[in-house]
Amino acid sequence: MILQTETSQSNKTSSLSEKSIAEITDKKTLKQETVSNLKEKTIDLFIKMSELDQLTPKPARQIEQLRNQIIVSNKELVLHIVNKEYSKRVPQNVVPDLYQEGMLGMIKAISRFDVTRGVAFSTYAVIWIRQYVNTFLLTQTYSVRTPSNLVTLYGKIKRATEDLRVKFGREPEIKEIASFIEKPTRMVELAIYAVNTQSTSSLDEIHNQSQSGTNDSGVNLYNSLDADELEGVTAETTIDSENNYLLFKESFNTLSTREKLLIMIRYGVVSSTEEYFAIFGRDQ
Amino acid sequence: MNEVYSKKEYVTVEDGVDFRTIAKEVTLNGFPMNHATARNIVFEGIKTIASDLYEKNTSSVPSEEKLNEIVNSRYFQESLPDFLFKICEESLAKKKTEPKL
Repeated sequence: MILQTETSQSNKTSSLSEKSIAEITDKKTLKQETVSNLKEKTIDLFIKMSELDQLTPKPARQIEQLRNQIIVSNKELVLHIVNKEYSKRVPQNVVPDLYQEGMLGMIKAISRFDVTRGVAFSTYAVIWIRQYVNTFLLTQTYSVRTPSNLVTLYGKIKRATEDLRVKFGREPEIKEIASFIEKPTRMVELAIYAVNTQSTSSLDEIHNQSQSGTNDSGVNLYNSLDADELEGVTAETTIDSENNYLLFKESFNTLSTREKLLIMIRYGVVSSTEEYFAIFGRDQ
Repeated sequence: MNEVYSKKEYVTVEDGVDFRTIAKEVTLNGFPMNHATARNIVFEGIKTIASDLYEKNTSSVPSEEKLNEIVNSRYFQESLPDFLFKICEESLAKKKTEPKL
């Protein structure tokens, strides 16, 4: 009796597993079909768009509609890439920004995609989406902006440092790193300096805290800056700067109206000629 | 990279306007010129100020090299907009206190 129940249970589980496997395979085939349908649909839209693009005059509205259709039908691609490759690496509040950047990348890919090459659009778009998202992450995520080429170079420097450390058994010098990655030493120094200055700290952050374990509160950055500035400012320096200003004003007044106007606009003091004449008057 | 840029005479400002925009703006308002002329006028003006200040402070005429050094120096470049804003503020304040006819 017991044996019979066991065998019936095993039959049930095997039938269940077969059923679930069949369901999964069905889902997979369905997904593959939808993906292939989407690819065909996108290619059709691109062909239509290129046909319309050759007409004179160009039907701008229809082209725009087709472009929007391509964007809407392929937006899942952006979501997929961002969710799979980036969402775990960045804070959750940044992910919507990455979707936006990815969409911009896809729009760029649409404008540059060539149907005659015989490649699927998604293959081409993925590169642009990654490019836009990576550029965003490199340039926008820090409060101090660093050129993306220096951040990329810094990544290379880090990898080279690891390799050379293993090779030499000591910390490599900058010259060695530079020759290893085939870049000038100055560029390597610049990249290290640029990336190290990206980190920022709060003005209220307490530093110089006593190490003796007493209850001294330490000095925050704001107070220390203030103190440093006050140290430098004396009656003498104030008079000096006032004298400098008066001398500067005298020299500035010797310039022609045209020179004064252009310098003022150049340095953003006034935004237009009218504003300049409203402040200084026409007869100078 | 910095060495290459520092040899050029261009001045980089954050709030300012580029020379093409300046040229367009002043051309429309009675000072016809192109961007190169605008650039030359601005540089000449700045050099005149620097040279004048140098003469007043040291009672000697600066060499072209010295003048370039002063114009490109960080101190000069930082204090220039401050003084310009101050001149502007003074002029505005003066206008407010002037009696209207």
